[in-house]
Amino acid sequence: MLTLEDYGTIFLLVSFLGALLISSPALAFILPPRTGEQFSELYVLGPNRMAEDYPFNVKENETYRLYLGVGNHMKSSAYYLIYVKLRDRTEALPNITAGTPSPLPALHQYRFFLEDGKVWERPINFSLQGLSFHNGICYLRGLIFDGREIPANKQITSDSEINGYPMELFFELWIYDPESHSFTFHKRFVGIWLNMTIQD
Amino acid sequence: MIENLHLHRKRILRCILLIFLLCLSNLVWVSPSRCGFADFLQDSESSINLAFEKVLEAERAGANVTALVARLNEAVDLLVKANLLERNGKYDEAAEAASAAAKIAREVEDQALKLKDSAISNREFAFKISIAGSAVGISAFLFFMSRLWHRFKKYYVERILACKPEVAEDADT
Repeated sequence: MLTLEDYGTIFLLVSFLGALLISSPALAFILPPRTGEQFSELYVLGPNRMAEDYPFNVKENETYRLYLGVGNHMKSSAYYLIYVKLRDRTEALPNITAGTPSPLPALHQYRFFLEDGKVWERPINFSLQGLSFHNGICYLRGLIFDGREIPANKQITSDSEINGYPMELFFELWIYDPESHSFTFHKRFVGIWLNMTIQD
Repeated sequence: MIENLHLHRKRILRCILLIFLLCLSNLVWVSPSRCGFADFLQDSESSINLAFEKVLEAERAGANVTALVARLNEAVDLLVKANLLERNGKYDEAAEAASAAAKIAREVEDQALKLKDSAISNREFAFKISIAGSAVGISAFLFFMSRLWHRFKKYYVERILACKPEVAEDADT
C-alpha cells in the first residue's frame, strides 16, 4: 500500500507536468525551433515528366525537351541559380566532396526565388546547331536553349565504346548566401549524356 | 606613272588611317556607355540581393512572404531580360527592364521591412499574452492541486484513523 509520502510525490509530479503543459505556448517562444535537415533537391526528367525516355542520340536542328526541377527544403526561402554547362568525357565535373563547381563556362542560367517546401519546375527545349564531323572529332557550334541562341564551340572526340560522340549536358545548382552576399555552389548537379549523331 | 602610284598608295593609307581613327573613336565612345551599363545592371542585381536579404529577415521574424517572393521573381525575370537585351545591343530597352527590376526590388525591400516590424510586434504581443496566460493558468492549476492535496490528505488520515486495530491470537509467538 502507498504511504502518504508516496501520494505526495505523485501529486508533485502531476503538478509539475501540468505546469509544464500549461506553459508550453510561452515556452515555444523561448526554446529554439527544431530545424531538421536542410537540403535542396535538383532533378531532370524526360519529355514525359518521368525519369525515362531521356534524349540520347541527338541530331542537329531537332528540338528535345527536358524538365528541370528544384525542391526547397532549406527551412526558409532561397534564391537559386542554375548554370547549364556542357562537357565531353575529358572535361571536369563539379567536385561534390570538395564543394567546387566545374571550371567550364556556363552556357545558360536560370535564376529564381523559392519558398520553403515549394518546387520550381520548368520545361527546357533545346536543339543543337552547327554540328559537323571531321577526322574523328565532332564540332558543335552552338545550342538553342528556350529559343535563345547560345554559342558552345565544343569539340567532342569519338568514343569507341559507344561508337559515337558523347557529351554531357549538366546543370549546377548554386544558392545565394546572405552572409557572403554572393552565390555559392550548392554541391548539387545533375546531367544527361547525349550522343552526337549525323543528320539522316 | 610612279608618282601616280605613290599618290594612290598615300590615298589608300589615308583611308586606312581614317577608318582606324573612326573605329577608335567609336570604341572610345561606346566603351564607357557599356561599362556604365554593366554597373547599372550590377546595381539592379545588388538591389534584388538586398531585397531578398530583407525578405529573409522578415520570414525569420515570422512574416508570410509569399507575395514578396513572387515579386522578387518578377524582378529577377526583368534582370535576366535586361541582360539579354544588353547582349543584343538594345540598350534602351535593357535599361528600362533593369530599372523596372530595381524599382520592384526597392518596393519589396520596403514591404519586407514593414512586414518584419509588424511580425516582430505581433510576436511580442503573442509572447506577452502567452506569458500572462501561462502565469494565470499555472497559478490556477497549482491552487487547484494544493486544494486537492489537502482534501486527499484529510481523507487519507481519516481513513487511517477509522481503521480498528485488531489483536492477533498468536501475538506473543
